[in-house]
Amino acid sequence: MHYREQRTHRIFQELQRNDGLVDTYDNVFCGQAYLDAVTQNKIQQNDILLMLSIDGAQLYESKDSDCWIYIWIILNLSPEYRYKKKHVLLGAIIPGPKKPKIIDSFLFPGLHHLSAVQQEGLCIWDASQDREFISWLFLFLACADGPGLLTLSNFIGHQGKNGCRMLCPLNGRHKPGAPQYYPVLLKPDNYNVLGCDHPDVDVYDIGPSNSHVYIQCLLHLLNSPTQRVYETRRLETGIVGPSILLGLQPELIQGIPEVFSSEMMHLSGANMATLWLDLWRGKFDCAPTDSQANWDWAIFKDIATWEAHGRAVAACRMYLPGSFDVAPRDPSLHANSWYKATEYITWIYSLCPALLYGILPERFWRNFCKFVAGLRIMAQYSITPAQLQRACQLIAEWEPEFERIFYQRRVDRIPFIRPCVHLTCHLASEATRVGSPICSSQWTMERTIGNLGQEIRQPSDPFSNLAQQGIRRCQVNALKAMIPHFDPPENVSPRASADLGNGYVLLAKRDKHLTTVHGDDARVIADYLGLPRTPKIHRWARLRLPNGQIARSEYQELQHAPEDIRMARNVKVRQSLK
Amino acid sequence: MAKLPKLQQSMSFIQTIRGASLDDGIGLTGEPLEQLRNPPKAPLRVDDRYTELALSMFIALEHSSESMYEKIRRAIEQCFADVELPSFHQTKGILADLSRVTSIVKDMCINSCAAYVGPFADLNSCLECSEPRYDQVRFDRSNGRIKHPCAVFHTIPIAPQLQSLW
Repeated sequence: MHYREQRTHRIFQELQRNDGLVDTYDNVFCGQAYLDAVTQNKIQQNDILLMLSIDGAQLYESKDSDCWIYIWIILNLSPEYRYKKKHVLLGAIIPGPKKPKIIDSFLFPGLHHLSAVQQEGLCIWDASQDREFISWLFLFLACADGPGLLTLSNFIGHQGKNGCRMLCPLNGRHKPGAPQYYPVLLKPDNYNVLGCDHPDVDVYDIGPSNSHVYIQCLLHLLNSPTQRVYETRRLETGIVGPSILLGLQPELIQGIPEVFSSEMMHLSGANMATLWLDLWRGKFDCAPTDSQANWDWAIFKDIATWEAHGRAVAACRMYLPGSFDVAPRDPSLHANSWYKATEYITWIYSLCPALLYGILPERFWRNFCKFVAGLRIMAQYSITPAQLQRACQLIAEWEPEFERIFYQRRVDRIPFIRPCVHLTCHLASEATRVGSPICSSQWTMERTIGNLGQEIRQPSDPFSNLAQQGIRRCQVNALKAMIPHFDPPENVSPRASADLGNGYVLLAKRDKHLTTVHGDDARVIADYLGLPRTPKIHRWARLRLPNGQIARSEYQELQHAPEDIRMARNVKVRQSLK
Repeated sequence: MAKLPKLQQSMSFIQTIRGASLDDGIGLTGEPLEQLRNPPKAPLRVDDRYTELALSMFIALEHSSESMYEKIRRAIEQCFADVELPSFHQTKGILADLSRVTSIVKDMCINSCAAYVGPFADLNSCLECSEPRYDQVRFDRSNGRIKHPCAVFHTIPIAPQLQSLW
């Protein structure tokens, strides 16, 4: 539990060494928001930093199983541990069957408890040092997907004029007569919709908002004397009502909207992926004034091209090592079934730049690649300042170009610029503020929903069963933390393995008998060992690398049909051009 | 300061949270509260080896059924005549006591509109859908003495969980 203290110390050393820059952005502690709070003594050595994450979930296929779950993630733990099931604290399970009408009332017991503890301080006895101290609980981040965040923020949401999840000052634009706003930077041609006809916005001007502005806007909204005035002010400010998080002790929360940040999982795995696909498949509504014949980028409108692409995606499976998680299935066959975020990510950002080369007309392909290059940096767990600068530049080039080549300042194409386009522009500056976006993404929450759902034993009464399972999990985790021998390590060296040291472990299968090696193989091995002849050897099938990935040898891979394996003998070749 | 009812309602939740105190009886009360303020200052130990065995079994069987636990318990007791292991439910209780993790239970609307907390704590029917808060049959039969909520939900307070980590 002393990770945060040590890491903070190291970061301040890095800052001194590198003229105020961290070595890498790989943690919320690398962000300016945290460092400022520490410098100003708002966060002290013994304090606990929390991240709140909330999501609506359908526990199993029946619609009646809708519920909301929120969890707490303890940022004091190192990132290796903090997102794991064992260390994630369950907050509450808010049962369905319907979406709560007054969600504040369901968040109330948990936040009330936090606020009360914030008032008094939490008394902790540290067993490792036999020391008692008072700790203050600081709510550093609150995360959720688009709709989930509104339960905490009470903002207008992505269809509003101020639709940004971080309530940045950018105003959206809408088609005349259509209610929905889009975060379009370039002013459409021949456009004079009142309140939306501001000139082009520079992509570099997109930045976060701050709590001073929020409080002023909120006061303005609260003072609305009538419903009518309220509605006008709601439109102006992008705020529907006060955020429930205002109830927490103000010196122990980052502030609103600072406590909200980007959400990388839905951005990359759902929203942006769908945007690209909708463009390529020509799925956008075509306005009567527009013509699909002009959509040069809609390469997958042609069924044959789409199906060929699907086959190509599926055919890549055998070349993707298991560390890529689920390999994407043929999207032309599985588009409507539950296609996972991971599948989208591998498909769109790993495979498409190569698979679409020569298929997507070049200027669209180039624009797409700029996005992918930027996003891939932003999706890294650890981002160096140089990489971050590169990503920032790529995205800043990509966005206005994306608007120019797709929407082309056409009023009827305003809906092409979906909110996720805008949120992408926030990624780089958010990383400098609160660390790499992956640290504050929803992956943990989605995983928690997954493994809670699996534990339901009584589908007849899912919610109370779920609550009992959840409480029991928290009790077991607390007991394991207090009495570690209740938590024996998982099988570290599996059956028939050989530890080679330095984090390398040979894994089954292995030859039962010693084999003689012939030809080139024998020569290479003998050379390596510095022996005149190669001794008889045992061949092994797999090698676990220090990073946890598993490499496989040809010895067993060739025993299976190529379609049945995920090849793990890939070699990455780096060429440095001078 | 808010003038519209909806906004007043939101502000009232916020103000109650802002003014929260551990002593206001809304969250933890009684022994769990006492323990929260005075965490034990010695490493937690299970002195009895059979209790320890029962807990290990209980944890190992986290994803199995209650009957699995009971079968193994019976097998052990048959093999070792002098061994007596706590039942599944007893072990559950031991786990709750040792871990000091409990839940705060609050009533809610059966249609999941809202929870009866904060400014709604004293309501007898839902503001949104007018469904009664308590089981009407039992309520009427007992002349309003038995107030059995139609639905409840659990919140797991974080402070005791955080204390166990150090």
